[in-house]
Amino acid sequence: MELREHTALTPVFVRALTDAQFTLYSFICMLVGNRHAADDILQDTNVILMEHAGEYDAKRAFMPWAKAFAYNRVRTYLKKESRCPLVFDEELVTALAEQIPAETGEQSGRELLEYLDDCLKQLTPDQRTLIQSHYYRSEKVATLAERLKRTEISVYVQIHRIRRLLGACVEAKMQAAGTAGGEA
Amino acid sequence: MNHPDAYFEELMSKVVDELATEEEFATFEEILLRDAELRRRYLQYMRAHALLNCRFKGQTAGMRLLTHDEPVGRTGNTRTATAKSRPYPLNVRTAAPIAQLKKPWWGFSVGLKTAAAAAVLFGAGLWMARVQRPSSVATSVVPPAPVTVLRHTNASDLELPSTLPGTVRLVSGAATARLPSGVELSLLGPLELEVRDAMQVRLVSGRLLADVPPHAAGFTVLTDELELWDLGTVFGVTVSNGVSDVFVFQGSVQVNESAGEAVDLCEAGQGVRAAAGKRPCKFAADFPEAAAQYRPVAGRQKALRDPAAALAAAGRVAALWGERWLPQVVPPPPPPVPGLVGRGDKDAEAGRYITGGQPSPSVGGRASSVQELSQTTAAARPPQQEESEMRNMTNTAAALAAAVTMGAGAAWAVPAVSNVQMTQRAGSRVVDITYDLAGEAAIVTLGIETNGAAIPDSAVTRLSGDVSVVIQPGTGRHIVWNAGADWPENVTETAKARVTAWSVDAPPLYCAIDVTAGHAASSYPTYYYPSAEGVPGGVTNDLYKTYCILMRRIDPTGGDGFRMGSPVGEKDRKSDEDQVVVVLTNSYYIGVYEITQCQWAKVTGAWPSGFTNLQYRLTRPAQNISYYHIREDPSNKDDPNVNWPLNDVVNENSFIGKISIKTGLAGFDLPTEAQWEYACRAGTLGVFYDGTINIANINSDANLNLLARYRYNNGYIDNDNGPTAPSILCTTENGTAAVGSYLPNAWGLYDMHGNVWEWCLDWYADQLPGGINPAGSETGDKRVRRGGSYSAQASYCRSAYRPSDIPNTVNGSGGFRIVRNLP
Repeated sequence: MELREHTALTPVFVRALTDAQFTLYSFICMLVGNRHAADDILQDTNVILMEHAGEYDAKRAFMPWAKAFAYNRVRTYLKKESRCPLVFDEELVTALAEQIPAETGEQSGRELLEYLDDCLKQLTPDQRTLIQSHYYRSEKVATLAERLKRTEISVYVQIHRIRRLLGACVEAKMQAAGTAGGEA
Repeated sequence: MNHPDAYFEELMSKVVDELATEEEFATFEEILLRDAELRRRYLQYMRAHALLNCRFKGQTAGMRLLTHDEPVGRTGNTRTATAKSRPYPLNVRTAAPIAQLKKPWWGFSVGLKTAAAAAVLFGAGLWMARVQRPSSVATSVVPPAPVTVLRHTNASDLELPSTLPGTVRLVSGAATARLPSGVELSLLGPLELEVRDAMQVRLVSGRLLADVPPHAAGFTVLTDELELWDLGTVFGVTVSNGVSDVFVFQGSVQVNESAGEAVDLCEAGQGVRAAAGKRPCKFAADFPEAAAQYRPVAGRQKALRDPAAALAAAGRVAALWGERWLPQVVPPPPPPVPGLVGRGDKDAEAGRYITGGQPSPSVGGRASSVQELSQTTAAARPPQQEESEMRNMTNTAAALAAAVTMGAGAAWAVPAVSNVQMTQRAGSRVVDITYDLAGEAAIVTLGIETNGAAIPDSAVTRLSGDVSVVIQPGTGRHIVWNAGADWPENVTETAKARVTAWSVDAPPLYCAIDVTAGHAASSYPTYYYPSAEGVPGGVTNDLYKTYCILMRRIDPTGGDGFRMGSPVGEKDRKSDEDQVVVVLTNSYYIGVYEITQCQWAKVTGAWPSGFTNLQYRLTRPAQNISYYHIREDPSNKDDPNVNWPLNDVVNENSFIGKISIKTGLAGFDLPTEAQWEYACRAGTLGVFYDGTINIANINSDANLNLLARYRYNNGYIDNDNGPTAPSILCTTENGTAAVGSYLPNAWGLYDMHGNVWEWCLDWYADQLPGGINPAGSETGDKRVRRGGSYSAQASYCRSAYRPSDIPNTVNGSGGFRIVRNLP
């Protein structure tokens, strides 16, 4: 993939792309179910978006435009990896994409992260520390289990529960802010 | 729904954590394809996972121009090599030589496959991109210094690192420096700071004020004692002479001990002081002297305007707090449990009073708090409260009392508290509180507030008079609080008494039935406490395993109900555990512990139990008790008039009959099977009440070892012949354990797994009873027993396992706990 010149990389565009990163990442992650794959697809998407910067109409919402490209990259990835048993089937991804609420406005990733931060505050101190250790310090579950004198499975369960709590909490905040509707 | 919750949850967790086998992955796909609701749950869950990754792995990368030949691997689903330790793309890119650049953990930076330039990010909101023409000259980028000085005042000998990790030293004066993450640090000399990377520093000594923009949340400051994890905020840190202080001026900071144990979340106006070798202590500027120090520096702008003044004020708040509260914050060692060792009942009887300061239930009582009040069920009428304020509450000063009526209080018709007066007896530390109660009889509890905050519930227990019991309406009701004994060495200018009246139909969270007077008594008093903390002596005191029966209120959420039974994937599950949805509509009290040998003997005058080693028998669960003993004919016969579920009659000479008559309260019984499982699970869906999803081995389980006495956790003696049944005179090392020896569930109930099988009301049927308030089959030959026992293997201790026995069964592994159904 050869990059074209970025004549259309206006400050407005770059700001929009910057703000869109978190939302694009979670969008891709939700569709492919794998953060490593999502990393790569996001990078591809960014390159493509910059190549098409000239086509972007600043009067229109950025996110739906960008998501369309991201979704295309996801489909390309699925085709390429279709034989891999640990990649979602295209039919499922289509069903998932239909269910991801359409963000109509310029919902920035910053808002999503603010929701997350608010929700993190609702956890107990022990829960926050566990999440911090796992995601931020990248402590492996085995290490955590040893340090906390618990079994690995109970640490997994704990992390699982926290994710579920945070997922519900973030969604509730999105809905409260009117940024997420029902099922599309 | 076709797919049991727990199995779906387990699969989802495995897929997201990339631990699923191909088979599990395929099953998960299939489930999702079929079920839109589960797809919705997956999306919600995955969004949280994605955002957590964003938040903590590279969130601060910003759009910036990079010109290098970095080959960026795109290998589909394969795992990309990752940067070690703290992933911070911007920092890695700027601080490392170009040739050593690695792909960041994941990038918002646009990685390029070709030799070309790309514009990518500065932190969200920090628009600083310079758009350059594409260039293939890798060396054209000059890495900026990792720590940039923005301004300084009389800074002398300021030493900055050229690469990271590196050290900042400042001999004197003040300087403000910026890290690549956008975090700005106001540094006050003398100071030594190790900058590990753009998102983590370690303060060796000195003082700093951190201003962390939202996109750099997660920034961490370490000291010898503490680890401070920012959530987007302004906070100060001081390290001096082995003491670490943190204080928050805006936003919030998660404070942990350096070993990783959580201390607490600190919000603006709060902080933590940690000294080497001591437990960290949280403090707050929430009393007048401290608030006066904090006010001039509160908030981001004021704090940043003069960091030295802000940090000095924080230090003074910590010192004031220490002077004022520290003796109270460091709790005294817990009272020794009553001396229930020795020579049988007589000594044990005396043992109740051995602790000296141990409050007896007859003077029990405690403070109420708004938080606890919120735990009443939605249907319950909110307790009515009334407050009285008292000034100059000191050792000698006379008190000036003034009644303050809470606005909402007057609106509640019945029961209603009014005219609360509070006075301190001259020359003493005894406080008299009087009030009037109108409307209907109510349970009255007392709380004390000083400086706008409730003092700990456990410090309002030396109460006597018209409190903690059902009070009849009338004027001049009188509570005596021995503040000197409860809350020593405190002097406060103002205090507020909060008298709360609880409807008898919606009583406080805990109740204790005092059976001290034994089987010959004509009545048993009942006391009420609105929180675990407020139970005099603490819920784990042996008092509640011997002479009092402590019960905790369970408030079913109603609505969609809960899932009773086990999911298909649960190991060693039986066919009679197929899940059903059960809706419980009424609150009920349930025993915090299984009924003990001592409690059984007190109520019935008989001692049927095994494991009768005199030294250890009192707090062990009662055994050798049939269903008939508990609620029908106590000579272990069927009472034809007693016929659950066709009626809810109990025989008046049975254990429950006696409790009902002597307390004068309705609703006592065994739990229904649904009530038992709901209380046991406490909201969990897995095999045990700690949330364990499944067991690996049907005999023993490491998680269960923390929760229960069972065959492979010392229930049986493990010797060369394998597990062997213990003798009747064994210590509690084997056989049954003293109740409360293991961890409770989320609702504070002990031993729902293991120890003794617990009788339930229901006739056994091979299908679970679903629906609203299920009462079980109308006929049957066996009654259900739940929870496993000291002789059961791990899989028989599961929340969903449901064996049964004919009602006259008497054996050493069978006991029970009681419930009291509320209207």
